[in-house]
Amino acid sequence: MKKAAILFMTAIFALAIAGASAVFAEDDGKWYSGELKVGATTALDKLHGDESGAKGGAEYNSSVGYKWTTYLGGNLELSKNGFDFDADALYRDVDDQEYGGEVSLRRILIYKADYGRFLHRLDHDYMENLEAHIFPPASTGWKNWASSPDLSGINGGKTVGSANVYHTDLAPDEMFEITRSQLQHGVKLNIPQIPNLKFSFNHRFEQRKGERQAMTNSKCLACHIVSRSQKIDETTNDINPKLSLSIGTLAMEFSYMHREFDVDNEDLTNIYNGLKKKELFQNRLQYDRTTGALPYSRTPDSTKDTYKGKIRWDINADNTFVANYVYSQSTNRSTRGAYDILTGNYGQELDLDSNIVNARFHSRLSRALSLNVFGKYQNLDNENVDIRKNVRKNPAGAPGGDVTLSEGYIGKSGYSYFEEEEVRHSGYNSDTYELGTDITWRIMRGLRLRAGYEFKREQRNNYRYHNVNHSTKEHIVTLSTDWRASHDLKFDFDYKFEYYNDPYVLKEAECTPDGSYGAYAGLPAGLYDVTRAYDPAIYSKRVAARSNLPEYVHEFKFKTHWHPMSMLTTNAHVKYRYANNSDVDGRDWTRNFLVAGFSGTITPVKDFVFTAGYTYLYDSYDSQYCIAIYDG
Amino acid sequence: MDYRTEAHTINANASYFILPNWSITTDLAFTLGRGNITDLNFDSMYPTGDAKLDLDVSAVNPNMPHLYDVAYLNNMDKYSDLEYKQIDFNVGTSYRMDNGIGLTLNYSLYYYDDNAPYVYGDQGSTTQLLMGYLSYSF
Repeated sequence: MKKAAILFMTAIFALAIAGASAVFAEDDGKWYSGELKVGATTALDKLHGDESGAKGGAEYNSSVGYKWTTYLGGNLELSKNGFDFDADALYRDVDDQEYGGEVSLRRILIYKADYGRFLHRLDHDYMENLEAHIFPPASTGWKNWASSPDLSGINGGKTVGSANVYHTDLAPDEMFEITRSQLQHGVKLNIPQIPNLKFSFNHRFEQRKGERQAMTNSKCLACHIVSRSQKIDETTNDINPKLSLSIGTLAMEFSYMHREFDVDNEDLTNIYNGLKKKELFQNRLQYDRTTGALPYSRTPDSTKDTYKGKIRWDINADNTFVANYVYSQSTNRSTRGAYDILTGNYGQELDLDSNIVNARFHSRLSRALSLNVFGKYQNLDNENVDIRKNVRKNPAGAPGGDVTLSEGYIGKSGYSYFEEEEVRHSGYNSDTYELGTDITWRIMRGLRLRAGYEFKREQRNNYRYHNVNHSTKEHIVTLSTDWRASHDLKFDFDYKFEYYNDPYVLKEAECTPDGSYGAYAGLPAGLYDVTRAYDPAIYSKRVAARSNLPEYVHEFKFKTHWHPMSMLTTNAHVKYRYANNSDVDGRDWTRNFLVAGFSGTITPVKDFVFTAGYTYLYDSYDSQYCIAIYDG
Repeated sequence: MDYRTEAHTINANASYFILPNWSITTDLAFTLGRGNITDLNFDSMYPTGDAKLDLDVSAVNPNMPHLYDVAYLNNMDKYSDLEYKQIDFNVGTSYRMDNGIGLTLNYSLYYYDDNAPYVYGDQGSTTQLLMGYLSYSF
């Protein structure tokens, strides 16, 4: 694909140069202009080793990491007898480059290209919040044990507590960063003999390289989190041909997009519970250290194909109809290997299909009234996945670490080990219907009123497998006005009311509706059975339905523009959104959002411009949480 | 539980042509961001009858006599008062001669103050750049 793109670009440039040679042979005046820039940047205060740079102005600025970088740039414009060439370039350092250009041959053939490359510094999670362990000083084998309170006088110096969270950062000094580069180019062909037909072909190649932090749980599963540095080497390759055709009042457009996303970095692996040959938790895990190294933090290779068709019919001067259809299929290509759930293979590629149809009719009913009617249907269909789980049962009272998986379970009384099949039904599968209308009334010169209503129904087809509600009906009412009070003063006001009948909710999401779990119920039954759950003390007590989506929303927006004198322009804006969901158990979920600001531009004298602005943002969520005590 | 974020942002920029071929520009962006959790109301709940979990640790902290108690999470809001300040400042000047040769100088300051480091450690940084280039137009 990359070679094809280079050949394609070379061919286009060759065509442009050939065309230019013919055109410039007739030169009789200045047909070129441009600018060349040569300089350097020095960091008076560069980013030091103890500064992450993942926030603020350094986040996307690679120059702050070097004492000296270059500044080489320029642009060139050529124009003569229907041939136009325009290019610009800027090189600061290897991770900060921008190039762009356009070649046009009598506007019949137009080629555009741009390339950019930049650095993004990423966060490093030191995981110091994962220190919820309490060990007595006797447990000297544990890192950072001294940070725990001195509990030597408690419980006779024996183990204190059994629930704990711990972490190990295996790349503590690593600075994580990704370099992103992207080439976009395309050609447009306008054939003079067929003016109603236009063809374009676009290509995009994106590359992400660098390192990021990857975490997994480790020997004690959820109790111990391990972080490593993961190399990133990902490419995205898109091709996108498009054909536009107009016949009389009818305009049509067809396009196809093929995308290949490839991951070239190696998988990270981890041996779970790998410290000892027969460790305490060995036979309480689904897979133990004898399973060997298992991959984690994987990003699958994927392919996406999108087909679009669009039609616009200008019925007459006052009425227009627009409709389009989009079909896309996204395929996970990393699952097609021989079935092995541990490496993420299911013996088949997994597809997500999407069909979208939407249409809009616009009518200018009179000089003062216009009407829109619109509708949309969307279907998402994601593939089911067959999962085969290992079920490992131990007899009551079996000692920890008694049997490993490699030793097998055959002939051992009370032990059993078998596969259990389960079908995973996707939560994506849904049908969504939308229908709406709005009307705009120009009441008088400078005053316009718009009112609209929209209905949407989302139907989740696999709701029963995900413990959520089947469907949500959404009603949206909008009312807006824009008023030009005078030549210098303008106001815009918008109000929107959203009502969701049965908003998306997770049933049995958390504690009891009164907000309590009740008393601690002790260790779960079947301690040595890997299939045991935190039941009945935790899971069975989760009976309250919760959501972080609204049942109803009020939204107000106000904007004003005032231009009182030629030297002064002012703007002010306010947006307030209140959302509430009382269709949950326990305390209501609410959100208050406010953004407001003003700005002004003043030009007190010729050649001096001053602009200043202030913005305030406030966002507040109120929800109910319950915390259960998990034991080991 | 209430989770609140706030941000104040001030932007200003100015440009002035001292002479028709000599300009000076400057811009400043300042942001103060805050985030915090309030209104935590976890009722007291602690394990009873367990040899490892139900221990009297009042000798370590009389205000927290149980080893585990959900109500201790009500103090969590003290760790949630996050705040940062960010300043991006640029000032530059450009001079262009009649023969197409020009000179541009630019100074940039990027300042990020992490007032309450937490999960990602102290993310504060201060960097300054001085950039200059000669240009030739034709």
